Amino acid sequence: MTGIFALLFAAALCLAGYGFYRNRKMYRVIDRMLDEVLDGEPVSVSDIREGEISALAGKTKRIQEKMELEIQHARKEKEQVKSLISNMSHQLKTPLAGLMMYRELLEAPDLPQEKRKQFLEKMKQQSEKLDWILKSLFKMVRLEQGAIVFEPGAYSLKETLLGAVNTIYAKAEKKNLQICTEPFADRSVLQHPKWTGEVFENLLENAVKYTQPGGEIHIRVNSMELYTQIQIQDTGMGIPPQEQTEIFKRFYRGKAAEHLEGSGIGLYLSRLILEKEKGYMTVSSAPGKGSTFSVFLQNCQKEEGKLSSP
Amino acid sequence: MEVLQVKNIEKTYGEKENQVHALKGISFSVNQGEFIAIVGTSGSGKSTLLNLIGGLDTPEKGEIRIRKHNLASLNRKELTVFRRRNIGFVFQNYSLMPVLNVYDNVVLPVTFDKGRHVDHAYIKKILGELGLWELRKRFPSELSGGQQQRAALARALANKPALILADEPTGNLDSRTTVDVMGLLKASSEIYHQTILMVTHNEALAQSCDRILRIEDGRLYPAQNGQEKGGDLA
Repeated sequence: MTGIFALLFAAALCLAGYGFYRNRKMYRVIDRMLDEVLDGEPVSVSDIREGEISALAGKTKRIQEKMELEIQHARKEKEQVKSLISNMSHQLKTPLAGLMMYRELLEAPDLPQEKRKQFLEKMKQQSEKLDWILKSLFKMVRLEQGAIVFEPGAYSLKETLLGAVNTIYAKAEKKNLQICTEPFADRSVLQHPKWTGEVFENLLENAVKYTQPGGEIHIRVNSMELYTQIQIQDTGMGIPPQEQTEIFKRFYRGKAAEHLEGSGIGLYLSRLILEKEKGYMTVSSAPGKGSTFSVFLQNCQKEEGKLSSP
Repeated sequence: MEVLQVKNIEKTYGEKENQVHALKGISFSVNQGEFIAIVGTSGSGKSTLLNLIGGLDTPEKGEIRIRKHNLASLNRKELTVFRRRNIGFVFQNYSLMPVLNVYDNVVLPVTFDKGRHVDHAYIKKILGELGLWELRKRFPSELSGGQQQRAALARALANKPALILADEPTGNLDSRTTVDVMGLLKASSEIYHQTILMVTHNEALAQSCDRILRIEDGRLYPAQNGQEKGGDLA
């Protein structure tokens, strides 16, 4: 009887010992793995074998990669913020210098009324520009942080587009540019009119800015299965292929546009807005021949039948 | 960081006069976190490419590297484990287990590695977002095509894989659900820095990805996002 008990006891002891040993070994391997992570070295345990340790190694590698990516991302962002500050001070300097100069001129006591009016008008323009830059910056930051929440709904595309064209019309006229809108049947698309209007205004403003006097701006609307495409085509300076994905990035300024005024916010802001509306934007362009920006907004299924038939 | 490198791969089906060159000299690489659309007419080799990258088939020539592992150098067992931990598949024909209910189907890839210790909260979250939580106890045969497709997608996401290979993941969905599925894929890829390769027929959907790979007759026609489409219509 005691013999059996002794045997059982010995077996239990062996099992406990083995369990303890296994535990220790597991601990050592994991500890080494964590050390490697801490030291920033690649994990040496294979991640393609069966078993718990290998599964953990796989996961550890993923964590390492994720950390590395996020660090890269943060670094890039830091660089961007730096360039933002230098860029912004540059952008703000010009209108501010103008403002100060006109103010000084206005201080002269014997200035004729005519001149005074002219300078005040210039001051108004410059302060409006300052206002625009600062407003766009705020919008951008708040959109990025998700502080601005807007629910896109079904709204008329024609009205939004018309509003944007109206705000830009005078500028185009002044530069002797023609804006042609090809006739299209109105349809409701998933959008927020105020924000979508801003996108169109940005694109039209760019078209006006980068097109020589006498040029043309065409607006076209095509309906597709899921999306409605709004094309804004100009006969401006165009964008070289290698810059076509870059222009949508924050504060990016094209090489050829560096000497022109601009903040590198407009297109980035537009893309942010479209993302919130579950739409998107693409560009096709050839230097010297002009650019075509296409905005894609989702069709609203319910009204589609009603509005799309002319 | 490059998560996937495809170097000069070639794939041929059949023999002698019946030979079909499915893929010819395809090379590209993909960064971690990229969302890539693969487009092309049917029979152009899109699915073949996806199968090769997923290690379901082997190329005659060339090399495929995923997370620094050369797929050809792995043995069968290693490949299985590697695939299970790193790759999420969404097949065209869903490939759900008919004898398991939705929930069990989705947690299946997780249980291989972890046994019964499943991150239930996470599974509940993805099932909820895909509108499948109420249907979790149903069997695949009791679901519509769209629901099965979403279940297959949930299964692909369950393991939080580094790479998701999706063959027409929105093929059977209506446009409203399509948008939701795309949103889920994008959100998941953002949180876990997942890389997604998606075969699709839908031009508009492809345009919303980071990059488009165009395959015609087994060859790659690189097209940057947007350039081609806008050019055609302009």
